[in-house]
Amino acid sequence: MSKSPRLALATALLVALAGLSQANAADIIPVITDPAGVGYYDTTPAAPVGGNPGTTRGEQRRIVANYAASLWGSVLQSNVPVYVQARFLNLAPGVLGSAGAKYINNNFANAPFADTWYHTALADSIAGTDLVPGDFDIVSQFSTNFTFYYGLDGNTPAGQVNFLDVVMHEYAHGLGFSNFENEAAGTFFNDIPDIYSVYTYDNTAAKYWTAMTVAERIASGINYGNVVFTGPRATAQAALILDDRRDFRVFSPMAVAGNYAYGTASFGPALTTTNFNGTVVLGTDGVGTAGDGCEAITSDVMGKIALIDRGTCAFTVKVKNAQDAGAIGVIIADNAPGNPPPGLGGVDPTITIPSIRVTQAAGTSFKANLPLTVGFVIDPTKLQGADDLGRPRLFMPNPVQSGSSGSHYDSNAAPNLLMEPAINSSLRSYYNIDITPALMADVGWKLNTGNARIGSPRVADCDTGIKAVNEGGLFAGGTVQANNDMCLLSAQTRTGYYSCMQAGRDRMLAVGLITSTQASKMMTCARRIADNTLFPLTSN
Amino acid sequence: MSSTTRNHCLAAGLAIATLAVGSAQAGTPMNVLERKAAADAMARQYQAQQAAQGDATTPSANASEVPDDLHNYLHARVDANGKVRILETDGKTAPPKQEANHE
Repeated sequence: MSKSPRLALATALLVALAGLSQANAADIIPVITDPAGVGYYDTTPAAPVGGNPGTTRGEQRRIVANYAASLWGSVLQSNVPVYVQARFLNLAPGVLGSAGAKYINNNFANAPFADTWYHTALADSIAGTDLVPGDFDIVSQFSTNFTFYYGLDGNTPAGQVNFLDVVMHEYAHGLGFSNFENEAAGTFFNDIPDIYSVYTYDNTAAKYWTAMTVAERIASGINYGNVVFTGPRATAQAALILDDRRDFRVFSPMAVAGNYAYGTASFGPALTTTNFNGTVVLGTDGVGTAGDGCEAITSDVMGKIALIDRGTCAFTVKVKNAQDAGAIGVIIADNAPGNPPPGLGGVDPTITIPSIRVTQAAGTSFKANLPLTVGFVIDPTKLQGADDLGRPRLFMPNPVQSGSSGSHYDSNAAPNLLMEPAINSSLRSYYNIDITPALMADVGWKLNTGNARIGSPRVADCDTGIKAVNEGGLFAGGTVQANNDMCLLSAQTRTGYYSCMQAGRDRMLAVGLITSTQASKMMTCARRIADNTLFPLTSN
Repeated sequence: MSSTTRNHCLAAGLAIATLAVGSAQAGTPMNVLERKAAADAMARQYQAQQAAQGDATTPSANASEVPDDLHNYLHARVDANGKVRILETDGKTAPPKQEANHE
């Protein structure tokens, strides 16, 4: 997509945002219900890490939970506090945790859609009152049996999971980013549709989920690549955030010409439009299952892309055999049904040719029409992870992946998004939550349109001049406010508070989130707070 | 804790929470100490409810508690490259076993 339509969309979005109310940022409050010495109160000593100043494991967990709450609180507006039950528990092996809205409401005051479920925190914000008083709005629990990274800088070590990204993702589910539909059964909870499904649209059926029969929703729930979120704000932001679409295309023969879903490899060079195009032929080894490529390739693949079946041996073995036979690339055809095709795992630094994985169905079609002419094409008029109208795709794999289907953006989006069904290491949710706030606005949240204002219980809020929420999912002001909240609560002295704010400023400058002028103004506010607040704050 | 003491704690907690909520509903965001007080009060209220009678909240006719099987559960898997993959499911059901990604 050219820049001018994107600028036009951005302008339109700014106009739309300007029309939103100027209510307060939301107070999102983690309520820790762990007993003493456990979970969020774990007293195991821990070294401060990645901007998290906590000195016990429990304190670091509390800081991350509160940091995430401050971040989301700076993005959203509500006059009703959002209470999040926060626990760490000894969960089953492999289970990291869970989260979601504790209640859902319909037909409340000011509800935009009648007979439609809303997450209770969202419903509260629209109604302006607590619709289920005295209880939590969101419940969350995480496992004590897992090694999380508690830093706030996104520098997650290999083998660990960034707790802040996980919490930001899970809070989003609880705040509004989820449906209450069973994709396998096609049924809504208590037969009442939800606000998320109001915007869920199937391009094949040309119907919204709320207008479908149960049978149609079952079919739509596995219609990978063809179900989108139609909210206008999410669509506008997608145009600013998503990369130009990159398609794997069969050019000829005409019988199979078109674009195909693909998975990428964890080894070999990255795919480009120049390193993966040409003629596709079968790669056979003549031993055992001839098409599996597990032995030396004997068919003529020199200068061509080899089509090889999945199975029997490692992906790296197949690709290396094709490389040794002179192939310039490899397509692995899956040996089991399913869509989208997963990636190709493995490690082999000697592999120098690119490879992809296609579905079993695509592989069967390809083999019946060889030779093919294929290549990767960049379409600057379309977006990676959106339909042809620019609406972000929702993840609808076949078969249904309970819990992942429906309530996430499609995993083929580029760049990676916070609300994809996997927590990717490239996420940086401490300052970038991409299209997610826009979707929240579509389902009914009001976004904070003002600047970050920081203060303390003794110092009136100071305008930092940094917008709380920026275009493209950046929220520099949110990061400033979250840093201020964290530094206020963790600092033992005013010098400690100021140093903590300086460290946050440096992290923001390092990633280009704020300018030096903005940094200066932020620190002027921080100086005012430091000079007029007694620390530690809890003793005031 | 005696029931009298518990009731006093609960009343005090609710009073603090109400004050904090009142502040927010009046249009003033809470400061960090007010949020902390509100969180502590809600935690005490929860503990008191748990000790007394369990979850006592009864939602209105137009509200419903979300069943646990509609909550998003996170699962961790280590792939063939030693990378941790996070998968989500509805409820506690483990994600379907997948074939090894390396073959």
